[in-house]
Formats: sequence, structure tokens, C-alpha cells
Amino acid sequence: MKNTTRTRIAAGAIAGAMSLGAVSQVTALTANAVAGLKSGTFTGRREYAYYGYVRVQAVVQSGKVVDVKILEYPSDNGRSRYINSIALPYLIQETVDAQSYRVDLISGATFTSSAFVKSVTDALRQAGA
Amino acid sequence: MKRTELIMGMPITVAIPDRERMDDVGPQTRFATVADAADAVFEYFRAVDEQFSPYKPTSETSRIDRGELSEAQASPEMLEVLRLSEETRKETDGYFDVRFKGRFDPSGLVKGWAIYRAARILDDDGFISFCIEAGGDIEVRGANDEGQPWAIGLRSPFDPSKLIRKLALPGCGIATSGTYIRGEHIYNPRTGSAANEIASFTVIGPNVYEADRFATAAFAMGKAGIEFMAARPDLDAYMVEWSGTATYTPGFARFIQS
Repeated sequence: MKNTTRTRIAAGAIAGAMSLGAVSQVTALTANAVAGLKSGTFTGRREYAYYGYVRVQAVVQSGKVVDVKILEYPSDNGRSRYINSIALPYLIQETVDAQSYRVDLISGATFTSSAFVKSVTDALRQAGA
Repeated sequence: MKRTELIMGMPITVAIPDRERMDDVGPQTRFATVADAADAVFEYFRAVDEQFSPYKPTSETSRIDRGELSEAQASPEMLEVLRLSEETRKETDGYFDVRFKGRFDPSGLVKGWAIYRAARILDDDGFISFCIEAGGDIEVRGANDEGQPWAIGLRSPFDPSKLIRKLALPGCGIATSGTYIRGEHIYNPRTGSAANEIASFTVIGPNVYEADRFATAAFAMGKAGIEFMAARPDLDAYMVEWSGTATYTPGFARFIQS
């Protein structure tokens, strides 16, 4: 098992925010509820999540997040009910460290995709101009 | 059997467990040995390169780019790529576009599409287990030589000789977009930020074509990319920031072996 610190983050990006336009307006909850990973129960700030408010509670034991409860999430209108028919997603966070694993194949960026990123950059520069 | 060749300016690897052609194969199969099958896959990539390379003056891509060939005169393969390009442009709200500055270059989409099509060659011949990798993007089927799920490493954006995670993958596609040069920036018109905090963005999807096009678009989105992925039930993602922090979708956890 890898020795990393993990923090669960309740993503503000509710599963209804399918278009980029929506995502850009989403406010993600930050990891402040479990900063330093002290043991205890932490209630996160009430955060606006595009279609309503989200508030979560995290339970930390021995430096690990053992539970995240959703205290509040958007449910006041038809739009939100649609969104909540899909589970509220969590994002999991960790600190990366280099390893030497024995693997069959490797996934990673190449110069090819790097070049493509440059072309995307150029396209975006034009789009934003 | 595992072989790598340099085609389309990148290493392409075909891995097929030898057991796949140890049993009697029916007369309906084209390939008697795994080596024959690998040959056919490499041959397919060479044909794709001839047809789609923006660096070959005789390619169909170059002819369209120069205006010598109209879309109405395009081959069925090119028409499919054009259709998929337009679909992707709409789905990613313009983050992915094969036409810019008056030029035409579908390379960003062709790689994933070609890997997926190459995998279909083996699927159609009855192969159950194999991996086809091109430039870090992989289509995965069945199990490896030991009968275990294929072990796929995630390359560290901080040190390309190192891995940051070992994944065990079922039949699916995986693609990573990113850059190994810090400071290679990307402009995001939505946030006004000129710097990209993202070092690499890996997507696992139902196939490598889906994984590749969304990895590219998500990388261009910056940190919002992971939220975009969390909202897609068919895709899982692992995002690495230059700060050394990785963020992944809950579904991605089931692929992590160590």
C-alpha cells in the first residue's frame, strides 16, 4: 500500500453540469474541512454549487477520512431533482510519489499530444481574443 | 508476444498473449499466429499514417489542407474522422477543433480513433486478450500473459522514467494528455488564466477513442477538467497538478492496484 495522504473532496460539480459552460460556473468545495487531517468531525462551508447549496461533513480518524456525509445538497426544484437522480460525486486527492512498478504497458503524454496541446492553445487564444 | 515499432512519429506497441493462437483456429480467422496479427495491426497504422499525416505532402489530410480536395471528394475514412471531429468540437464546447488558423489537422483525434480501429481488427479475428498502445494511449482487452488483468503504469509528469500509479485494467481504453515540460502553457479563455496548473490528465473510458478525445479536452480545461469528468458516468479520470497533488474521480479508485 502506498503511503499517501488522502482527502476526499465533495466536488461542487454536481453530476448535472454536463456542459463546459456549466462547469466554469461551479464552485468546488475545497479540502479545508480536513486540513491537516486532525481526527474529528468537520463540517464544511456551505458552498454554492450552481444549482443550489452543498454542505458536507467529514469524519477523520488517525489521519484518514473515514466518512463524508452530505448534509445539504440541491433539491428545491425540478432541475435539481434531475441532478440528484445521479449520485453526488466525490473527488479523491493524494500526493503523487514516484515508484518503480512492474507493468505491461505505460500510459503517459507524448510529444505528439504535446504538439496537439500547442494547437489547442492557439485555438483557445483565438477563441478568447 | 510484444513488439514496438515507430510509426506516425511515435512508438506503437502490440502485446498479445501467445495462448491466443495456440489452440486450433478456425478457417474463418485471418491470422494463424499472434505475430501475423501484430503485422496486420502495424500495417494498418502505416496506412493511417499515409492517409492522415499532416507531415506527408501526399496524404489526404495535406490535400484537404491545401484545398486540393474538397470534403465532398473525401474518402469514407476521412468523412468518418470529419464527422467525429465535428461531434467532439460540439461536445467539448469548442475546446477541441481540428481547424484553426485556416489550417486542417485532425491528428488530435486520429490517434485514438486509429488505435480503436486497429483493436477492431483483432476483435473481428476472435482475439480475446491484447493491448494496443500508441504514444501512451492504450486499448485493453482480456488478460495478460499470466492471465491477470493488464498492469498499466501511469507515467510521472515530473520524471518520465518513473511511474506514479499501477493500474489493473479490464477491457477499456486509457489515454493521458499532458506535457512533461513545465511552463508549456495553455490559455484558458474561461478563467483568463494563461498558466496551466495541470501536468497530466489521464482518462479511462469505454474505449481509447473516447478516453483520448476527452483527455485532450479536459487537459485544456485546467482544474475544471476533473469536475467535467466527475459528471460523466462513462469516464473516470486522474489529474496531476504541478504542485504534486493528484485528484481522481471515485470510479478511478477501482482500477488502482498500487
